[in-house]
Amino acid sequence: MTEVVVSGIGLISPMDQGKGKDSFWDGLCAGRNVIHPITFFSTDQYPARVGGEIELYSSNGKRDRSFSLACFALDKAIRDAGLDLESIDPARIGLAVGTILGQIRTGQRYLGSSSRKLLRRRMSFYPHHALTGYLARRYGFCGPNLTISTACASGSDAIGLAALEILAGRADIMLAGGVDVMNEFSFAGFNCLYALTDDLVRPFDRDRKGLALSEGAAFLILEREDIARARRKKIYGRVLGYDNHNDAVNMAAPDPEGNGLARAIEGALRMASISLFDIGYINAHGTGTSYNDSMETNAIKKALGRFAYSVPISSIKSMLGHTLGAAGALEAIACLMSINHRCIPPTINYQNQDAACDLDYTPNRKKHKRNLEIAVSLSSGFGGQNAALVFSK
Amino acid sequence: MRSNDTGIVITGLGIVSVLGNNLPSHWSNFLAEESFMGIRDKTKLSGYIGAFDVDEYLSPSTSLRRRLSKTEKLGIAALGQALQDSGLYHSRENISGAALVLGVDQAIEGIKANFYRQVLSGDFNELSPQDFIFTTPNCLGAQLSIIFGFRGPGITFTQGNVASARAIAHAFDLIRFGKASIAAVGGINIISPEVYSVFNNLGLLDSAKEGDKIDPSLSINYPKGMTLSEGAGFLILESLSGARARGAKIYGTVSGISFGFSPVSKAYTSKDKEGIVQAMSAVLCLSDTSVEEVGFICASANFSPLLDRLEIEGLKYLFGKRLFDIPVGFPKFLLGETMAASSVISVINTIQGIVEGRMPFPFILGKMDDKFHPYQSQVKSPGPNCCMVNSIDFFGTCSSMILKILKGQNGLNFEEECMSLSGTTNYKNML
Repeated sequence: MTEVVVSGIGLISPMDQGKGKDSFWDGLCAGRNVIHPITFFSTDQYPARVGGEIELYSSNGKRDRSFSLACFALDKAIRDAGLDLESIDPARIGLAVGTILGQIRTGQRYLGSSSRKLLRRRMSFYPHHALTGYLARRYGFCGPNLTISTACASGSDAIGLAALEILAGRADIMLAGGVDVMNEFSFAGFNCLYALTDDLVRPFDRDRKGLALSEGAAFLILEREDIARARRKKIYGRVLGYDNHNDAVNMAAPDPEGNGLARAIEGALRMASISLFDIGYINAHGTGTSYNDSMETNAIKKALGRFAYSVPISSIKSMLGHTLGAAGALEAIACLMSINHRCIPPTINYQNQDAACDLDYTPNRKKHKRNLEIAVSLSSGFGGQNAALVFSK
Repeated sequence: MRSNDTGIVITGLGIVSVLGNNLPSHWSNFLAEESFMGIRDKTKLSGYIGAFDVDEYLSPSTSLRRRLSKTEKLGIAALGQALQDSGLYHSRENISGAALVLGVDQAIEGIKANFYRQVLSGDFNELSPQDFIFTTPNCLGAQLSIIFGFRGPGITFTQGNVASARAIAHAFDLIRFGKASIAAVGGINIISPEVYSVFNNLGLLDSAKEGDKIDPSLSINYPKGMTLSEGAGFLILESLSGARARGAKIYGTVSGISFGFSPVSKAYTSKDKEGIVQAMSAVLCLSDTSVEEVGFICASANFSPLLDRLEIEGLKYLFGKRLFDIPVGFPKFLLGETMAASSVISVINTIQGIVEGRMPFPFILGKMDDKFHPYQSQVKSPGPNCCMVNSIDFFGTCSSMILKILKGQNGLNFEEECMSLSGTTNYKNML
């Protein structure tokens, strides 16, 4: 049976500031907080004013910022995997991009400008899939081309769907990940939902106040194992399982019982054909909002039963903030790095246990685990979207 | 994970278009339009759908009714019809585990613009959380999943004109890989002033004015621009075994769907057709279908000069002389470009046309002049049951689908015909 492996990683986030995956990983293991007051736009009118920003590309360049970040991460991933694009049949290599608001900065400039005609050429790059089309053209990928928008699960779903494209025989190699940029549009939106913290992000803590918006881009190179082995490149791990389920309960809030996420976890584990004993780490969605963290705890308990209490869980959003469409991809990378280093990054800012969140959240310090072979990444989003990915060594 | 090798069939159709708010009215107006073609009216300049209600699909106790947007209403009506058509509407148990896969592109741009105007006002208290939530494309799917009770997989693609083709492909995979036994798959498109303005500024729209006389043959052979249009379409896909077990009406099989990518440029080059050729070649191979078997092609043709050219060049390249004998449908002449909904609507038009014995707006390529001419003859029994449906997007993604439609013919009973069609689905490239 075809196996899908991860042979390359590329990312850019406020944690690494473009310095690469090792910098990202070192920052996570050190428990480094990268949430600071926002500088990209005025936050005077908002109750919450902190977030994560990438200093590179901070000026208004010709391209939309999402294009710049995505190209940066893709270049890194292609180099990391040692892909020689000239030697690969372009029809067998594809791209799956998850994003929530895509090129929203271009949209903001168009809507906020009095001379819209001047911006009309730039607006041709505004639709979500313009990004995927642009990237496919830039790198010469003629295989499957997917643009996915499933709220905060977009990055995870992009990876899951890319793996399915390979399993279905439509591609041999897929570059999959997500991107979203810091912008006032979503900052205002999450503020008006009172979902943002004005302080630190404290996932699963009794005193959690909300999430912090952040930005980033991350891509994984997924390949059929035989092709990756033939190139004799380092393999980070395998994509063993994926599933996605709707809550069908509420537009803005998750199902408090966590039924949708539990179904996604169960489906992904079933696809992976592993036992609950095998799970060595769960990278939680862990936004730091009251609703999400208790829902997620319930979902993990529902899916894992009593084993839920023995599996280490952590939320890297406690350090990095919520990168929206990129979150699932960055967290997938954290899972792969965990497996490769046999180490679990911490949930920082954790001080007080919440009665509704009573699992092992790896508080404040990284944890080494010798037998860490399998990691699960969870994502949830607006509209009751839930996704789960299972990675193995 | 293993593939389901029993075939994937279409058991329900639902549509809301500029021609009608349900399939019977859409189709009767579609046929009627053909008789008075030639004069541009407001509908064909840009296809806006007027007010309509969806009360019959909502629970009497819901408070949703008074605050549903037009986009949501389009989705509710089309999905509700498809579920009714498939006999699943009252089967909450079946719907609960079903997948809901949606293509959405420009449908939320009006909501986004409205919310950003609130942001620009500088008054935090003016911001509407409800508006913000609906700026995320998946919220249309989420709303539909809540109203109809879909608790299975849910994905939203934002992929322009191929969004719903991509949705069909994913639904196909979900059933094939056993992640769902039933999938509702659809697309929704509405036109906001912002979207209209962008396309207009880019010079992509037909410049014809109301009252202008138009000749369909001229438009097809010398395309000058597209007409944006609103609409929603839904299909119910399920495994053949599941559909047979519950005694569902079966329209036909989705025998395969494939994609290609062309680096489309304004200056047309022969390389541009490679994406659609790639998609069509792959789907013929995947579905074990020969060029000779294809009896009808529903073209993507939206009258944009560049995209139409690459599609026609691609068809000529792949089908060669055989193209002189295959009717090609141009339904967007009547319906406009419904973007994210267009692939599903093309499937619905093709199925309805073949089942009813009349292909949607068919033309045929002339041997002498290499131009398309109206195809006068009606489908005669047995007629084509193997059809190709194409979609092409401005950013280069191309899709091609092979449908094999059941008509209870060739001396076979319905069951036998169904099995004979599903038997042609080739899964050799799968797991």
